[in-house]
Amino acid sequence: MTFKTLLAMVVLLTSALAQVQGTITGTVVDETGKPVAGAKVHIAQKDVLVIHQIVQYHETDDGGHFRISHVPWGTYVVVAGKESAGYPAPVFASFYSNYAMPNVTLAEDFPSADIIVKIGPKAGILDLEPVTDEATGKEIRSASVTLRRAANPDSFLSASTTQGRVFVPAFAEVLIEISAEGYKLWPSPGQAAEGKINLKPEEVRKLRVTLNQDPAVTTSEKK
Amino acid sequence: MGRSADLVAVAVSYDKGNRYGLQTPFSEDLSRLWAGGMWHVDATHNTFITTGNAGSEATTPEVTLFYNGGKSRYRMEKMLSPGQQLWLDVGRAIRDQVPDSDGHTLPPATMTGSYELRDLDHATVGQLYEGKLVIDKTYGHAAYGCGSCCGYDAVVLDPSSYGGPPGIDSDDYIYANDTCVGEQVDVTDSGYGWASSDTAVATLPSRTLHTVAVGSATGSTLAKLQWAHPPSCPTQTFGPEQPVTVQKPTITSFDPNPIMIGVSGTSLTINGSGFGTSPTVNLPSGINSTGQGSTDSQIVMQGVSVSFSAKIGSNNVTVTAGSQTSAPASLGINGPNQMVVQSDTIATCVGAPYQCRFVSYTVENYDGTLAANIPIAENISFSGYNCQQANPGSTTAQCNAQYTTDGGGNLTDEWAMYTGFTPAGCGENLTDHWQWCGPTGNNPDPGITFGTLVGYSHTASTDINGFINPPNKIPTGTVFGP
Repeated sequence: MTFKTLLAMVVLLTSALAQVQGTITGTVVDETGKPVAGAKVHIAQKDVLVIHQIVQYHETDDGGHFRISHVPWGTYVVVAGKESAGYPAPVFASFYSNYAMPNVTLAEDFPSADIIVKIGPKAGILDLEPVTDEATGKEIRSASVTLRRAANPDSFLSASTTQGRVFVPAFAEVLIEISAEGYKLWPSPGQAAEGKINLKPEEVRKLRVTLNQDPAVTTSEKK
Repeated sequence: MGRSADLVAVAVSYDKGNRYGLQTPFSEDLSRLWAGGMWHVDATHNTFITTGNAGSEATTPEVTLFYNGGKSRYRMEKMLSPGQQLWLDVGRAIRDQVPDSDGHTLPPATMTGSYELRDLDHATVGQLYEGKLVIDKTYGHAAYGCGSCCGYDAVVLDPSSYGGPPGIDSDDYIYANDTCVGEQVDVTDSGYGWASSDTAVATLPSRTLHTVAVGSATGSTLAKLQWAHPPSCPTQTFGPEQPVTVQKPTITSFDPNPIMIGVSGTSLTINGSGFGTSPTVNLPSGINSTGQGSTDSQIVMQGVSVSFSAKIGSNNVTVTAGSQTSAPASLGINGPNQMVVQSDTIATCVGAPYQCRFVSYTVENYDGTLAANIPIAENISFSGYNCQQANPGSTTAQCNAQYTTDGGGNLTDEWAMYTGFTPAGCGENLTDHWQWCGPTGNNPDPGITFGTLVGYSHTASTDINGFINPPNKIPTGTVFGP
C-alpha cells in the first residue's frame, strides 16, 4: 500500500464522517448455523490505517441478532466472537476463524446491510504454566507465546504467557514458540516439532516451558 | 396505717360555745401533695377535710374535691401562715352552695367523690399535713382516713454520662420521676452542692460542666426532694452522679465507606468518640453536606453530596471538637480508579494487512469491584510525529455515551504498527488518559481519569508505560492508575 493510497483513504474517511450514516444488521451463527446469543460483534473499516482506536463491541441478542447504527459510508469487515463459549475475541478472528470475514459496503445507494457472520470452530486451549528461568526457577513474566498456523507461518498471534490460557485454532497444525528477551527461543531451531500441536475444539493441552538464558545477550539488556 | 402504740397527731375543732368538738388524726409526714382520699355527704353523713402548714414559712394549700366520676372539680385555696390550719366542711359547702376559688359551686345532689391537697408554693418539698373526718349521724361513728402522698424517685443527672473533648461547656439537668403525675420532670432548680471529683479533668461549680483536660472524673450534685415512699413521703436528699470522660475526638469508622462519587442527598455517619456537642467535620474537597446531628460518639451528616471533582480513592477526614482536632481518618470515595491488564497481544489488524497491538484491561473501582458497563472516553494527546508521510491520525472515544466497558468491566485498546512508513521506526509520543464519563456518559466532560498510559506508537513497536512490544508484553495483572 502506498502513501498516496493511504492518504486517499484518510480523505475518504473524513468525507464519509460528514455524510449520512448507515446501519449494519445481522446474525451471528456458529459452525452449525445455530444463532449465538451474547456474541460480541466488531466492525473495522477495510484497508484504512488508524494508529489508535478503542475496540468497540456490539452484543447479539437472544436470537443472535445485532444492529450497528450511525456507521459512516465505507467498506467494513465484520467479525464476531464469544470468549466465554470458546470462540476467541472478534479482533483475532482473522487468525482463528476458518471462515471468511464478511465485508459490507454502505453508501448512499446502500445505506443498510443485513449479513450472516459465521464463527468457529471453537478453539482448543493451551494451558500455560508460568514460564521460568531454567537456571533460577524464577518466572519470566515478560515471556511471549507465539502461535503460527503451520500452513501459513505468516499468520501469527503473539500473546503474554501470563494469561495462563491461550486459545489455539482448532483442526489446524499450529506451531508454538515461547520467547523472552535475553533467553533462547523455545523450541530451539531444528526442533520445531516440539512445539507443534493440533487440537480439537475445547481440547486442553498443558504446557510447561523453561527458558535458557542466551549468553549472547548481556545482563543489562535483559528485561 | 399505724402500728400498735404509735403516736397519732390529732387536729381538734370546737363550735363557738365549745360544746361540740371534732378531732381528726393527721398524716405522719408533710407532703406537697396528698391524693386519693374519699369524701361522703348525704342525709346521714358529713365529711370534714383539713390541712395545715407545718413549715416555717407561709404557703398556699389547695383543696380540690373531685366529683361526677372525677370529671368535675371544686377547688379552694388559701394562704396559711406557719402553724395555721384550714378546714373544709363539705356538707356545708354543698348545702349552702358556697362558691369555690373560681366561683363554682357543688351541685346539691352531689354525695361522694375524692379529694386532693396540694402545696402550691413548694413543688419539691411540701409543708402540708392532712386530716379527714367522716361523721355517721345515725350511729355517731366517726370514720377517719386520709389520702396517700406522692413524691419523687429515680433522680438522675442528664446527661447520665458525659464524653467530650477539652474546652467544652455543657449544661447539666436533674430529672426525677414525679409519682404524682407519673412523668419524669425537670427538678434542676433543686440542685445544690455541684462538684467534680477531679477538677483537673472537668469542673462542675454549678450545673454547667466544663471539660479541662483528657481524663476521667465524676460529676455530682445534691437535690432535696420529697421521696415517693407512701404512706409517708419524707424529705430525702438525693445525690445523682455523672461519669465524665474527657478525650480527644477520635474517628473509628464511616458508614458508608467508601461513598460513591456523584451521589447527592445521602447521609454519612461518622462513628468515634470525644465529639462533644457541636463538632466540626472537616471534609475533603468535593464533599458537602446540608446539616448534621451528633452525639459524643456519632455524627450523622445529612444531605451529603460528592461532586465529580472529588478525588476517587482515600481521602482524609478530621473532626474538630472544642479545641481539639482528631487524627485524620480515611474515607474512601468510590469510583473507577484503575485499569488492570488482562492480555497484551499482537495479531493482524482487523480489516488491514498489518500488525496491531491489542491490550485488554479490566477497569476496577476503588472498592475492588468491577466497573461494568460504565461510559468511558479517552483524553489522548500526541507529540513529536516524525514520519515522512502525513500523520494518518487516530480515533478516540469522547464523553458522548458512545463507549462503555462491557459487563465484565473490560475494554480493549488497539495500536496499529504499520511498517510502510519511513524512516523505519518513526512514529510519535503519546499520553493517553482513560476516563469515566459519569453515569450518564456525558457528565463530567472531560471525564474522570482512572488510568494513564504514556509511551509512543512507532511503526515497529509501541511503548505503553515502559512495556515496549514487541517483544515485551505487559504481564497480566499489571495495574495502571490515574
